[in-house]
Amino acid sequence: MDKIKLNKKKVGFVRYKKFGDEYFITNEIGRYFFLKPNDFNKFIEGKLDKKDKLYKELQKKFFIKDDLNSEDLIDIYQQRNAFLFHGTSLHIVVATLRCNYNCIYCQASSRNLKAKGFDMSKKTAQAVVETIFQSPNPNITIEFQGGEPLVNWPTIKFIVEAAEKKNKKAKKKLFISLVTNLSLMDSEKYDYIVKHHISVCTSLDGPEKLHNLNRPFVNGNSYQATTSWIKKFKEKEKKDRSLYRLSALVTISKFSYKYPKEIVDEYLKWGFRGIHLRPLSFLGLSNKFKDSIDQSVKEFLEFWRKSMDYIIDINLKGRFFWERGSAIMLKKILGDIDPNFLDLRSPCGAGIGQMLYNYDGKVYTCDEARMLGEDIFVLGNVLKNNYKQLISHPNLRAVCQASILENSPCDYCAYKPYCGVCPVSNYALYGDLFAPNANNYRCQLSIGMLDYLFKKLQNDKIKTIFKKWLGIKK
Amino acid sequence: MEGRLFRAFHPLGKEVQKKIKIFMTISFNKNIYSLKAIKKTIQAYKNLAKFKVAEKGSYFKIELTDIKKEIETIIEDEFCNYVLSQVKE
Repeated sequence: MDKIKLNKKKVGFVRYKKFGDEYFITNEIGRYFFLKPNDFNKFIEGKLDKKDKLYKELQKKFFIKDDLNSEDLIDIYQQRNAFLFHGTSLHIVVATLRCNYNCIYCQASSRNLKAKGFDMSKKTAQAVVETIFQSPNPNITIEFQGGEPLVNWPTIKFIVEAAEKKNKKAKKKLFISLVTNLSLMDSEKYDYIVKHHISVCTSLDGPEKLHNLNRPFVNGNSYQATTSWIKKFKEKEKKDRSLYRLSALVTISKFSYKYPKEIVDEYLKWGFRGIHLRPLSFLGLSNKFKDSIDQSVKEFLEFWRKSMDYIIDINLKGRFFWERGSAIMLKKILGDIDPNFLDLRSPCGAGIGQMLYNYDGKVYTCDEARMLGEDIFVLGNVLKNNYKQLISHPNLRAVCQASILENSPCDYCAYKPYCGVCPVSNYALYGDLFAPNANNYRCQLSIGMLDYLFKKLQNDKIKTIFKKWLGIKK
Repeated sequence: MEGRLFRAFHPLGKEVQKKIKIFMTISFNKNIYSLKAIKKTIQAYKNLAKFKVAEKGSYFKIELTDIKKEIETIIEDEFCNYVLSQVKE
């Protein structure tokens, strides 16, 4: 590389990395290309022949400055960063910190069912709704989390109805979702959920033995408690296609690594169309699993690759089943509209994309931030502050600044258009919002996953499967 | 941020502009913001308002008074951003 010189007049904006025997190049709008070393040298030096097929392909992908279609380039750039212009859309409400489970990796500082003073009051709930509707975003998602939100069912109902009432005038696109372990579900609650178009997401960690190991239930078998309702939800969905589909999240603990196929099979068994294989965040109780970060990355990626190979194989045999985390990255790789996944943005979604309202009215920048419980991620309290005061808080300015990739060494990484950093994770693992992002825990995970995806994208059959996941036909 | 605006209107019309008093408090978390960054910013903004620095728990509380009228709507944002830029430096 030392001997070749970048021709700034002919070469468009480019980042690159060595990928096997080739060079992998990307630009600011996420277009990518693999080049043989000789072609890479010619490209960088501006020596490609204009009549050459390669030149035209690179030009089409905005890598060549000659005859650059600036208008299209600007449009695509704007689309990929549209999230910057809308304000907070995701509003996570912790209706209670009480929970009937004792999950080994609990990140939410949950309290037992008998604990007092950890439920959101109606006064606070009303103030939460008022604050949510002060956001300028026309799309509002209210997501109930816990603890176990069903423990404080009256407050859930109160917020749902207050939001619906408020929205009659506000006319926003309102979406309500509930994250629950389903153990306290009953037919009355189910009917209410259907009537008010509430989407439900539960937790399913895999086969019974593994699920129960990860998620101990004080009153018995957590797997049975959850799957008995998964079964009912899925049966109802089959009869009425207009219902929101029940979704589920898996948390991958150390105990999960032995079961890459079995976990996927469990999701197939219950009729889910996909899975999101998420690593532990090392926040809350999961911090105790942090033997060594490098070892965790290695183990998780090994598990993830095995699971992905299995999922791809299922698709190659003709059954649709997707991995959501990959699909989010693939959308950034193959599409022009950003999926607005708050962890993979620059800046990240803390505050400007999501806010978390704790049971006591305290507002945090994000879900992860309340798990840490540190004061530096608190933006105020709905009982004292309005949305404008929350969104302009100096703490949020700093968190935003810390997650702007263009301000960090990540700006030199070829994977920058598809990636993001988490200041909360930086603070938890390294004690600093502005910790060096390159080569840290999340960086190693992202690079491992993106390396895998780009390798697979070189196979046309697999690329077609990935496109199917995203609903891309051509 | 505790943004409080008080406007005191003088009952005698002419003196109203001079008597406008704006009071504002901005809180900076000590784990993110250094006193040095805040003091540098105050130095840069000294002709635009009066500043008083206090400490409460894990926060530096900056009280702004006598804010120039023409910048009263933007000083909070600008001041915060300037402090942040000093932290980054």
